[in-house]
Amino acid sequence: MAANAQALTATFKSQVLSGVHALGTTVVRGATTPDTVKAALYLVNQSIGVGTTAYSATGEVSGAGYTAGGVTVTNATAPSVSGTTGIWTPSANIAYSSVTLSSAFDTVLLYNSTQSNASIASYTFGSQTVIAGTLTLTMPGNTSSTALIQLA
Amino acid sequence: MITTIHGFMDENDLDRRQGVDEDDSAKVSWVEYRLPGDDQIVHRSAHVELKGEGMDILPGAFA
Repeated sequence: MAANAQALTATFKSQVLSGVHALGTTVVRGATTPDTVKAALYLVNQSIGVGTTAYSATGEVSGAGYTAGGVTVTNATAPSVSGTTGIWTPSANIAYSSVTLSSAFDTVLLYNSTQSNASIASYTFGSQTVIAGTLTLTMPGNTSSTALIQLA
Repeated sequence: MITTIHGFMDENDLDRRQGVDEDDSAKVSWVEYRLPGDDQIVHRSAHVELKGEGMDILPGAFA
Protein backbone atom coordinates (compact mmCIF):
# COMPACT_ATOMS: atom_id res chain seq x y z
CA MET A 1 0.00 0.00 0.00
CA ALA A 2 1.27 3.44 -0.91
CA ALA A 3 1.17 6.50 1.32
CA ASN A 4 -1.82 8.77 1.11
CA ALA A 5 -1.34 11.97 -0.91
CA GLN A 6 -2.91 15.39 -1.11
CA ALA A 7 -4.30 15.82 -4.60
CA LEU A 8 -7.05 17.00 -6.83
CA THR A 9 -8.12 13.74 -8.37
CA ALA A 10 -7.52 13.13 -12.02
CA THR A 11 -11.17 12.30 -12.62
CA PHE A 12 -12.19 15.62 -11.06
CA LYS A 13 -10.05 17.48 -13.61
CA SER A 14 -11.79 15.71 -16.44
CA GLN A 15 -15.24 16.06 -14.90
CA VAL A 16 -14.74 19.80 -14.46
CA LEU A 17 -14.33 20.01 -18.22
CA SER A 18 -17.59 18.08 -18.62
CA GLY A 19 -19.50 20.21 -16.12
CA VAL A 20 -20.14 17.38 -13.67
CA HIS A 21 -19.22 19.41 -10.59
CA ALA A 22 -20.82 22.69 -9.55
CA LEU A 23 -19.08 23.97 -6.41
CA GLY A 24 -20.88 27.26 -6.79
CA THR A 25 -24.22 28.35 -8.14
CA THR A 26 -24.45 27.07 -11.66
CA VAL A 27 -26.65 27.30 -14.68
CA VAL A 28 -29.74 25.22 -15.43
CA ARG A 29 -28.68 23.00 -18.24
CA GLY A 30 -31.16 22.20 -20.93
CA ALA A 31 -29.60 18.90 -21.91
CA THR A 32 -26.83 16.50 -21.06
CA THR A 33 -25.23 16.94 -24.46
CA PRO A 34 -22.00 18.93 -24.85
CA ASP A 35 -22.26 22.66 -25.26
CA THR A 36 -21.54 24.22 -28.62
CA VAL A 37 -18.03 25.61 -28.85
CA LYS A 38 -17.19 28.23 -31.45
CA ALA A 39 -13.92 29.73 -32.67
CA ALA A 40 -13.61 33.42 -33.53
CA LEU A 41 -10.57 35.17 -35.00
CA TYR A 42 -9.21 38.46 -33.71
CA LEU A 43 -7.08 41.18 -35.20
CA VAL A 44 -3.66 41.85 -33.70
CA ASN A 45 -3.41 43.96 -30.53
CA GLN A 46 -6.97 43.50 -29.25
CA SER A 47 -6.04 42.48 -25.70
CA ILE A 48 -7.66 39.06 -26.03
CA GLY A 49 -6.30 36.77 -23.34
CA VAL A 50 -6.71 35.63 -19.77
CA GLY A 51 -8.97 38.57 -18.93
CA THR A 52 -11.41 37.91 -21.76
CA THR A 53 -14.74 36.86 -20.29
CA ALA A 54 -16.90 36.31 -23.36
CA TYR A 55 -16.97 36.52 -27.12
CA SER A 56 -17.28 40.03 -28.48
CA ALA A 57 -17.38 41.26 -32.04
CA THR A 58 -15.07 44.12 -31.05
CA GLY A 59 -11.72 43.50 -32.63
CA GLU A 60 -12.94 40.44 -34.52
CA VAL A 61 -11.78 39.96 -38.09
CA SER A 62 -14.12 40.72 -40.93
CA GLY A 63 -14.04 40.03 -44.60
CA ALA A 64 -15.53 38.05 -47.43
CA GLY A 65 -16.54 34.54 -46.42
CA TYR A 66 -16.16 35.14 -42.68
CA THR A 67 -19.24 35.23 -40.45
CA ALA A 68 -19.10 37.19 -37.20
CA GLY A 69 -18.79 34.77 -34.32
CA GLY A 70 -16.57 32.43 -36.27
CA VAL A 71 -17.19 28.76 -36.88
CA THR A 72 -18.50 25.88 -34.80
CA VAL A 73 -15.85 23.58 -33.40
CA THR A 74 -16.31 19.87 -33.97
CA ASN A 75 -16.54 18.30 -30.55
CA ALA A 76 -17.03 14.56 -30.78
CA THR A 77 -14.45 13.56 -28.19
CA ALA A 78 -15.39 14.03 -24.55
CA PRO A 79 -12.90 15.36 -22.00
CA SER A 80 -10.82 12.57 -20.54
CA VAL A 81 -7.86 11.81 -18.32
CA SER A 82 -4.37 11.14 -19.60
CA GLY A 83 -2.17 10.11 -16.72
CA THR A 84 -3.25 12.58 -14.06
CA THR A 85 -4.13 15.40 -16.46
CA GLY A 86 -7.64 16.32 -17.56
CA ILE A 87 -7.57 16.93 -21.29
CA TRP A 88 -9.78 18.05 -24.15
CA THR A 89 -9.10 18.67 -27.82
CA PRO A 90 -11.59 19.33 -30.62
CA SER A 91 -12.06 16.22 -32.70
CA ALA A 92 -11.43 17.94 -36.03
CA ASN A 93 -9.37 20.79 -37.40
CA ILE A 94 -10.95 24.23 -37.54
CA ALA A 95 -11.18 25.68 -41.04
CA TYR A 96 -12.23 29.03 -42.45
CA SER A 97 -12.65 28.27 -46.13
CA SER A 98 -12.77 30.67 -49.04
CA VAL A 99 -12.23 33.77 -46.96
CA THR A 100 -10.46 37.06 -47.45
CA LEU A 101 -9.14 38.53 -44.23
CA SER A 102 -6.95 41.41 -45.32
CA SER A 103 -6.18 42.88 -41.91
CA ALA A 104 -3.59 41.08 -39.82
CA PHE A 105 -4.92 38.69 -37.18
CA ASP A 106 -3.10 36.49 -34.71
CA THR A 107 -5.58 35.01 -32.24
CA VAL A 108 -8.42 32.53 -32.10
CA LEU A 109 -10.85 32.59 -29.17
CA LEU A 110 -12.71 29.42 -28.24
CA TYR A 111 -15.97 30.22 -26.51
CA ASN A 112 -19.14 28.52 -25.37
CA SER A 113 -22.02 29.71 -27.49
CA THR A 114 -24.47 27.63 -25.45
CA GLN A 115 -23.55 29.41 -22.23
CA SER A 116 -23.90 33.07 -23.16
CA ASN A 117 -20.74 33.02 -25.28
CA ALA A 118 -18.54 32.58 -22.23
CA SER A 119 -14.86 32.44 -23.08
CA ILE A 120 -12.86 29.23 -22.82
CA ALA A 121 -9.35 29.84 -24.13
CA SER A 122 -7.39 32.00 -26.52
CA TYR A 123 -4.54 30.84 -28.72
CA THR A 124 -2.09 33.06 -30.52
CA PHE A 125 0.05 32.51 -33.58
CA GLY A 126 2.19 34.56 -35.92
CA SER A 127 0.34 37.44 -37.56
CA GLN A 128 -1.48 36.33 -40.72
CA THR A 129 -3.70 37.46 -43.54
CA VAL A 130 -5.71 35.28 -45.91
CA ILE A 131 -6.56 36.32 -49.47
CA ALA A 132 -9.15 34.27 -51.36
CA GLY A 133 -7.87 31.30 -49.42
CA THR A 134 -8.28 29.08 -46.41
CA LEU A 135 -7.10 29.30 -42.84
CA THR A 136 -6.76 25.94 -41.16
CA LEU A 137 -6.11 25.48 -37.46
CA THR A 138 -4.70 22.03 -36.93
CA MET A 139 -5.45 20.37 -33.62
CA PRO A 140 -2.62 18.89 -31.56
CA GLY A 141 -2.66 15.34 -30.30
CA ASN A 142 -5.04 14.73 -27.42
CA THR A 143 -2.43 13.77 -24.83
CA SER A 144 -1.45 15.07 -21.39
CA SER A 145 1.35 17.19 -22.86
CA THR A 146 -0.19 18.33 -26.13
CA ALA A 147 -3.98 18.53 -25.76
CA LEU A 148 -5.56 21.87 -26.58
CA ILE A 149 -6.74 22.14 -22.96
CA GLN A 150 -4.70 20.53 -20.21
CA LEU A 151 -5.58 20.64 -16.51
CA ALA A 152 -2.52 19.14 -14.85
CA MET B 1 -6.48 25.50 -60.19
CA ILE B 2 -6.74 27.72 -57.14
CA THR B 3 -9.11 30.42 -56.01
CA THR B 4 -7.81 33.96 -56.42
CA ILE B 5 -9.19 37.45 -56.25
CA HIS B 6 -9.64 37.09 -60.02
CA GLY B 7 -11.47 33.76 -59.80
CA PHE B 8 -9.99 30.36 -60.46
CA MET B 9 -6.50 30.45 -61.95
CA ASP B 10 -3.93 27.88 -62.89
CA GLU B 11 -1.29 28.02 -60.18
CA ASN B 12 1.34 27.23 -62.80
CA ASP B 13 0.70 30.68 -64.24
CA LEU B 14 1.44 32.39 -60.93
CA ASP B 15 4.51 33.14 -58.82
CA ARG B 16 4.41 31.08 -55.67
CA ARG B 17 6.01 31.94 -52.34
CA GLN B 18 5.76 29.88 -49.19
CA GLY B 19 7.18 29.92 -45.73
CA VAL B 20 7.01 28.64 -42.19
CA ASP B 21 6.95 30.71 -39.02
CA GLU B 22 7.13 29.11 -35.59
CA ASP B 23 7.11 30.42 -32.06
CA ASP B 24 6.22 29.01 -28.65
CA SER B 25 2.50 29.17 -29.42
CA ALA B 26 2.14 27.75 -32.90
CA LYS B 27 3.74 26.76 -36.17
CA VAL B 28 2.35 28.53 -39.23
CA SER B 29 2.86 27.41 -42.80
CA TRP B 30 1.70 29.81 -45.48
CA VAL B 31 1.56 29.98 -49.25
CA GLU B 32 0.82 32.95 -51.44
CA TYR B 33 0.55 33.56 -55.17
CA ARG B 34 1.15 36.65 -57.27
CA LEU B 35 0.75 37.43 -60.92
CA PRO B 36 4.19 37.36 -62.57
CA GLY B 37 5.78 40.81 -62.35
CA ASP B 38 3.06 42.05 -60.01
CA ASP B 39 3.45 42.44 -56.25
CA GLN B 40 -0.25 42.07 -55.52
CA ILE B 41 -1.14 38.87 -53.71
CA VAL B 42 -4.00 37.11 -55.48
CA HIS B 43 -4.20 34.14 -53.11
CA ARG B 44 -2.89 33.49 -49.63
CA SER B 45 -3.66 30.58 -47.35
CA ALA B 46 -2.26 29.68 -43.95
CA HIS B 47 -2.10 26.49 -41.94
CA VAL B 48 -1.68 26.92 -38.18
CA GLU B 49 -0.62 24.04 -35.96
CA LEU B 50 -1.94 25.02 -32.56
CA LYS B 51 -0.11 24.05 -29.40
CA GLY B 52 -2.08 23.14 -26.31
CA GLU B 53 -2.59 25.37 -23.31
CA GLY B 54 -2.04 23.79 -19.93
CA MET B 55 -2.48 24.92 -16.39
CA ASP B 56 -1.73 23.32 -13.06
CA ILE B 57 -4.66 23.09 -10.68
CA LEU B 58 -3.52 22.22 -7.21
CA PRO B 59 -5.18 21.40 -3.89
CA GLY B 60 -4.83 23.97 -1.16
CA ALA B 61 -3.88 23.19 2.42
CA PHE B 62 -5.90 23.39 5.60
CA ALA B 63 -5.08 26.40 7.74
